[in-house]
Amino acid sequence: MPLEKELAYYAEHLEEILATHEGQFVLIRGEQLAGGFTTDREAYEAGLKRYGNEPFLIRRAQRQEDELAHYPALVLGILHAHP
Amino acid sequence: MLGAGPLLQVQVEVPQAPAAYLSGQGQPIPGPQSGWALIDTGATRTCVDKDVLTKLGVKPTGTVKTGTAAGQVEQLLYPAKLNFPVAGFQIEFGSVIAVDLRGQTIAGANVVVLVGRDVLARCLLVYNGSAGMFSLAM
Repeated sequence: MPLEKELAYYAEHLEEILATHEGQFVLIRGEQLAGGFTTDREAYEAGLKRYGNEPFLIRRAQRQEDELAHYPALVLGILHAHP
Repeated sequence: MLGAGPLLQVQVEVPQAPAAYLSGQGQPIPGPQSGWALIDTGATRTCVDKDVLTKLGVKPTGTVKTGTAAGQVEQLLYPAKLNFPVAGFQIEFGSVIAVDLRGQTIAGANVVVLVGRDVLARCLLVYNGSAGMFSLAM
């Protein structure tokens, strides 16, 4: 799966990242933290400039995980259920 | 509308930033991918078919945990631009959830987008079931 390295780096270095970038959108490629940004758009544009059109991770540095996303009609297979 | 649900024609396009990057590199910008967008009030975030995103050549920028009947699953997030030509508006997303919408076909066209509540939070949606119509305005 793409971004495995980046996700592992984020998880392993979370405390260090929080110490310097808490609340910011951090940009990670491989095992390299490229910096923190105010918005995800700024982080994305910086990633494109630095790494080109390649996978890189943008994640808000925060202790609490984001809430789960749900799309029940698709995952339950009832997207086009008819009465 | 009772059978198919609230559908909009949609074109999924390469967002402005990667399009500018590709253009600057002298690379071709993949053309828009057309299909149906289904308004899904049950979806927390907007989802786009992963094959469509692959065809656009955009790369993932994150992941999100999603709740499924089998437990939590990590899904990739991609930047995307949705153009609704009939409705007359476009939305650039920092990230949409890549999902498998293969086989979701209505009137010969694929459903390629589930419009979630992240979009609806900025819209007025009126679902007039008795008249068999709906309206969506930003």
